[in-house]
Amino acid sequence: MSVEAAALALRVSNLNFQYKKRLTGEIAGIGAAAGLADISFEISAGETLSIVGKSGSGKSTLVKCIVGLVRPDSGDIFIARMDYLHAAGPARKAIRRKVQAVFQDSASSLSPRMTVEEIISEPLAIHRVGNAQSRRERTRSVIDAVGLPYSFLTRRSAELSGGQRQRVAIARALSVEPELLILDEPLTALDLSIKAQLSNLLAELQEQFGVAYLHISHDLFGVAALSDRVAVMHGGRIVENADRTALFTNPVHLETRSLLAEML
Amino acid sequence: MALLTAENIQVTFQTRDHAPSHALRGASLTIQAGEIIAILGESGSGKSTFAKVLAGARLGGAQCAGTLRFKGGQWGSVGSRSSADVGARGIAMIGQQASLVLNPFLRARTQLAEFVQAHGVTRQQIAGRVHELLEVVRLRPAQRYAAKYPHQLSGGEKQRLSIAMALACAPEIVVCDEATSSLDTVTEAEILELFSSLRAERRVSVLWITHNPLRVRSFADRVAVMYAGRFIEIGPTANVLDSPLHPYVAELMRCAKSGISVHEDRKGARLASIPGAAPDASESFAGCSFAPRCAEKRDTCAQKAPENASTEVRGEVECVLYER
Repeated sequence: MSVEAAALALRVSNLNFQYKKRLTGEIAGIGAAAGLADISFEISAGETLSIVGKSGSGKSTLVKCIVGLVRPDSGDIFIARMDYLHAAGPARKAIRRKVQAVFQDSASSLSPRMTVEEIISEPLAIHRVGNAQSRRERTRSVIDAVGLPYSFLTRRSAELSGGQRQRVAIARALSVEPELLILDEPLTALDLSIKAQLSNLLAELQEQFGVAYLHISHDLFGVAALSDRVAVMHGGRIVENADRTALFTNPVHLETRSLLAEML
Repeated sequence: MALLTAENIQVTFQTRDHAPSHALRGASLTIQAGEIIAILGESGSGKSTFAKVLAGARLGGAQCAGTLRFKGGQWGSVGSRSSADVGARGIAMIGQQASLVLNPFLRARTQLAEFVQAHGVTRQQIAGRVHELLEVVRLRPAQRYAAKYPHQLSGGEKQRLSIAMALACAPEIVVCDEATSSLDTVTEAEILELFSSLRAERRVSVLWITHNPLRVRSFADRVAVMYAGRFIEIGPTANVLDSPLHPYVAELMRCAKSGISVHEDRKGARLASIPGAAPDASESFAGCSFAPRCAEKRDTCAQKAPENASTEVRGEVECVLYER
């Protein structure tokens, strides 16, 4: 393994996936849902890659492959330099700990019955990190990091605003010290001023924890500020993958230009 | 000509367990015939309640006050709709999720026919009117779309179908509450285009409710910004977006613009954001609702509510900085 490869948080190579017939087309009502065609990209440690694309371009399918919800037909996924697709049992679980995710709708991804403390410490329990005492300390340290007061630990998700819920989801994801955080439309459902607060928080957390981000978005709000590189997906393919400034100032692919045009 | 006037609308929801929730705290707005007006506001600012008031939805258990005038005639009462209400036939509403108003078991033509029939069209005319409505919302070829079930339509097509249903009563105002928020930006642009041409062809007024100021620039004639249940600034679109008067609107536009700017050469540039959060609907305040977050607040702001300062050219603003 080269020195350069050692610093990769995520490497996806030649990933292919096709939805089975019964799930596609008009029957499932998702005529646009694309599979994945020969997807390859890398994310270095502590770096952010944003993947942007319209609905149905394959962004969500890609996320599902990386978190293990969908098994690709072919290709490789290396998370924190470990072969994810060919691992099983405890080895797979160990890799799985290195990648955590924050989704768009945290109201539906946080249990309404659990307190914030239970929500944040659950991944620690699942991965058997430390003892009860150290888990409590870790929980307090991450809730601090996302800018919420300790008094929130006893609250439940219904008592929180959208922005606060998203902070809890980020704290939960960070609790097990992942190398890669998948941010699947984390800002989309939020108000503008809260979007900006959250985007700034994510930038600060990356500087503080050195975690890499795979940021998925259908619009370009916040993408320039968060990303090192930006990839554009269209019809299940990555049609352009460029340095952030290059992509915004000199877009090559038609799809990129159309996304940029719609943004303004 | 003022088509619809809402004056000092107040809506308070009473709940058993919690403090009363003030959704609207004296919202006033006038909509002109054939105008597209965007209502901009963050969660909890009262936009959806205002939309419901205009659409004549029943607001169960809410205390309502204020006056609504539609084409000069006065409404029965705010927060309820009866057949006697003057607005009952002239205002239609479209929500964010078309799938909530579409029956998954019915073909497009059957759903549309229900609405067409409800608005006094004879049996013989129904098919023709359904076809016409599908054409209006550009679901072409209409013959093919008429036979489709909702699950066979894309998100944008479903929203078009729900627009066709709203147009069945030939409304003079269409109230759109986050009608494109669940659609991607390209589909959203197509829906905005559709409303622009509806306005041009049929002189329909559009009340476009959104939380995203960036998409209304080339679409709306005027923008009205809501905060804590009131309209705090109303003016021509370019003025409000580019040289806002109210400190809140100025901050909001800074957030919006910094989110899409790429001037910094390195990543990690922080976006402009407004400290704190919007007040809860259960809070009450003697003075300006934005004062706790305002960088330009004066000593009097927390005690005395700002008066509406209005100028012909710039529009209206509720802020002490502009009182004379």
